Amino acid sequence: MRKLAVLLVFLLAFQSVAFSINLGKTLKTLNKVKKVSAAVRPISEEEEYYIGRAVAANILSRYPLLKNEILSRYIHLAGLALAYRSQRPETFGGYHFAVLDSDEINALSAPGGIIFITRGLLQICENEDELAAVLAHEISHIVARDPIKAIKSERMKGLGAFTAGELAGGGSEVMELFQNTVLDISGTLLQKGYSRTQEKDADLAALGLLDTCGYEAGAMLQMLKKLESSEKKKAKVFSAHPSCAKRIEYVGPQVKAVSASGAFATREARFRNTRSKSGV
Amino acid sequence: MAINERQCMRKKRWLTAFLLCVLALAAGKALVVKVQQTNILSKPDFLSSSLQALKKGDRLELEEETGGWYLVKSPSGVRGYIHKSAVETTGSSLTGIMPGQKSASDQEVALAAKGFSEENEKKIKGSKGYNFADLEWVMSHGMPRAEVKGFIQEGRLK
Repeated sequence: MRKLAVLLVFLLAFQSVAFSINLGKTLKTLNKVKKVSAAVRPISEEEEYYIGRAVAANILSRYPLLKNEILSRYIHLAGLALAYRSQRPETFGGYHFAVLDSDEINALSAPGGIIFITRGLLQICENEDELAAVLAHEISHIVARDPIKAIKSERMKGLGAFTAGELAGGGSEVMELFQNTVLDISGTLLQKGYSRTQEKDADLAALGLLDTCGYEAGAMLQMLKKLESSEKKKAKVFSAHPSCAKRIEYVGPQVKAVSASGAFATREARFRNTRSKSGV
Repeated sequence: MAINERQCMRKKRWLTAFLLCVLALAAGKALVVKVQQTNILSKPDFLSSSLQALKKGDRLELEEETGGWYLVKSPSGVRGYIHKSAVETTGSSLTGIMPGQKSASDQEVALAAKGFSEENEKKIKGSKGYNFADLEWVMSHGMPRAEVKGFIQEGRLK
């Protein structure tokens, strides 16, 4: 009987040790799964919004903002008229549009839908449809989530190596990763540029969006021709685009010449009126 | 009890559990608002009138899919349309009926998991290389949908 009791105690002890070992292993595995899933799961809308805010704040530290209420209102209206008809009309914080006070000819979009156009680019637009072509191209990048794709994969893996608690705590290593992620995107927007495929896709999607909204898709071709002739002034970002000549090659056959319809003239008049009132 | 009978009983239990899960999933798909603010609209069109304002985390019942839009019903009984880009499916309404489970906390965890949050943004505010003051100027310039509608009509857009 005593032998049986000893055996029973031994078995129970063995089981509890085995259970703790298994529990330990299970917890370790769960922790690994948690880290891996954090690394591989897609970035949420809310994360995209906060990344976008940091990227936009970074861009605004490099380029002055043109705080012109008349122009800001007009760019917002034209941009939203397009964004509402896009494949991604809603983002976490909504679309926002602003003008950078720079002579450079450039437009860029931060994650989540904060879109910038330079004064230089705005000044070479001759009508609203040309401005819409620029905005439609940038909105198409947001729809495709191209700015987020600019985060280097090693950075994503780096972020995945931290636990949720460590990341929420925002220690120095986490903040360094956070800031490097922002620089990954800003670097792509301002220097490196998107891939040629991403740019081509954005151009073609923009043509569809312009047409859906009732803008003249031919305005895109006009803008590309202007960009081609003002290449000396262009910002670095355009160097990574397919060359303007290449873009003209694939955009040209897709569009009809701009028809100077009554609607086009109405939009052209309000574009000129806004420029004149805003003094830009 | 014979081994075969035991196995049979076990199989039956698993089958019952599986069927219960399938029934629960089929009971209705729930949607959760994933953007800061949006609206239930009277038509599947952004320029149609708003029937109810919604905020992040609000739950909706999915009734139908129409292109890029969902026909939904709010807990207060308002039926209308919401664009797919404003919501995410929860797969089922199970999370809503299980006590102590909130999808918002899942979102918070997911957000913290990559470190991009309001709290971490505060830590970089004021540091070199970020101009949040001008960003706030940009973000404060929203435009009511009614004005966008007027702009579209005036420019004879679609």
